[in-house]
Amino acid sequence: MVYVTIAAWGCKISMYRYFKIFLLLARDNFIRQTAYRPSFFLILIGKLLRVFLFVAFTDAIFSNVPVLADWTHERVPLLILTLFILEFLTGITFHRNLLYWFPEWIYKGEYDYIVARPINNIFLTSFRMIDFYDLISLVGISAILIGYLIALAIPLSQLIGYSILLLAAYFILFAFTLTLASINFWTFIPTGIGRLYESIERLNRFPLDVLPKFWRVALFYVVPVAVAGNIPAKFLIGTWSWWQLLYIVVFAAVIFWLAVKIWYRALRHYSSVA
Amino acid sequence: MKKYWTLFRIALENNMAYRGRALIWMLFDLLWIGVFPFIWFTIIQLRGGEVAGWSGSMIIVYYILMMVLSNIVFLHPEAFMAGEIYSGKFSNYLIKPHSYLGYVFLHEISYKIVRFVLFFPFFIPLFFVVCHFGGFSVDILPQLGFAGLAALLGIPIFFLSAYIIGLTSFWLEDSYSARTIFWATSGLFGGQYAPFELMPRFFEQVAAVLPFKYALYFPLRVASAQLTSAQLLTGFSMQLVWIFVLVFLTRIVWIHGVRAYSAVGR
Repeated sequence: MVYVTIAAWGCKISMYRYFKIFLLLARDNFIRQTAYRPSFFLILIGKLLRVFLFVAFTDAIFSNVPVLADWTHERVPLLILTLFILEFLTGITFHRNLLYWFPEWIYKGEYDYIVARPINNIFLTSFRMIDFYDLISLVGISAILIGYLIALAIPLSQLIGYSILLLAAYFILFAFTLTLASINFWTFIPTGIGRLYESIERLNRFPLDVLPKFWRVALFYVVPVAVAGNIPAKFLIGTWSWWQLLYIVVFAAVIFWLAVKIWYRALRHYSSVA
Repeated sequence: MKKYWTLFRIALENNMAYRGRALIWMLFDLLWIGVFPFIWFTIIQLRGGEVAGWSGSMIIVYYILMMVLSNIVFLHPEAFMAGEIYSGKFSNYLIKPHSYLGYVFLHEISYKIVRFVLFFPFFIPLFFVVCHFGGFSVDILPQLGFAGLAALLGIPIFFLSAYIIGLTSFWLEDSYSARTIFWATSGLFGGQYAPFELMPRFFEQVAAVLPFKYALYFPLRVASAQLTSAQLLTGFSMQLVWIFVLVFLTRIVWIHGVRAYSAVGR
């Protein structure tokens, strides 16, 4: 009992410490990103324009048909908003750190600085640069999503399941990205892989149910890329069951555990030669 | 001329050394064909086999040709240029005895060549598989000459647009903003996502005042033999007009940009 209490206290202190570090990293990057103010605001405009154009394009697609693979014109915003929520969440935190900055740190020999810190190196590598461009967009998109969910009067149980799936999706995407990034310890992979990964993730902008069965099975179950938008949104509209949700949660736990293992195994190959 | 040939050779060797990058971007292009044709194909089937003159097989051909064209036309010097200007490395080019525009163009063209060579062995079998299972054929031979010419004229249109975006780094320090807007608009208003006939008029109206339509959509329509002689003539004329306008703009932006450049990154 004593040990459990001590462990719980230790975990609490550790969590608090990491939270403080996270805030420090965020503050540091906020100062960095707002140093060029015109550029900062132009990027925000660019991001908003991208969202607007995409919504207009999707609207154009769905103006052609009333229903496309279970998705009606009223339901489609749930899919797009879910995609953007996850895209911005990952964009704020680990996405660019692992797929863009991390290969560069390795390439230039700057990674020693991170390895030598008395902080968990997965944490520091993944959250070193907190991206405020996406944070502001996330707030806007979240407000729209909440408003839309209220307007559609989605039952509470579905909202809970949706939140669980969003969390699971975040862990799955983190695990995929971490595994991909781990390859850099063996061989340098160029940043273009980040763009490729983004495109695969963004397949979720569209209802993947229109794809042939082979692709659907692959994208929903084998390598559930569909979790980055389609799966949580499908749960909201009632075409994804609790059993399937459970599968995704278990998948998230397993893949996350595996990704961490792969990372530490790969880290042994880090030679600090740049 | 010899110095440009040397620059081209060096850039080609460099890109051959990092062919992994080209391979990844090629896969990026292949993704387009993975989803969009299925979406539009399903819609067209649901609408009785034809929407605004587009049948299911036509839409698949559209995306196949789009994949080929985007491998030829899309030159992206803007990120590379932004890095050079931001870091101050750009100063080196000011004293070199060659044009910066020429250097960047050769750099990008050499990369395109490597990418196209890698793309072709993937594309040919994929093309035949799609045609075989889709039960249709693509006959672009009759208009291959015109399509090739339109694609060749599309290269400077897209390149110069991207080049101007790259030059905005002279003022913006970090031109990521301009690049974000460029990437968002060039594909959509270039017809990369869908033919304009399938989208609301708004998209075509905006596309009409931007150069991207003439870099991508026009060559593609020429390749699919869907244009009359008058439309062909108008399209080629517009391509030439855009090249002229973009060359002029490039010159203006360059002159003012170099004046604003302070090599602060150094």
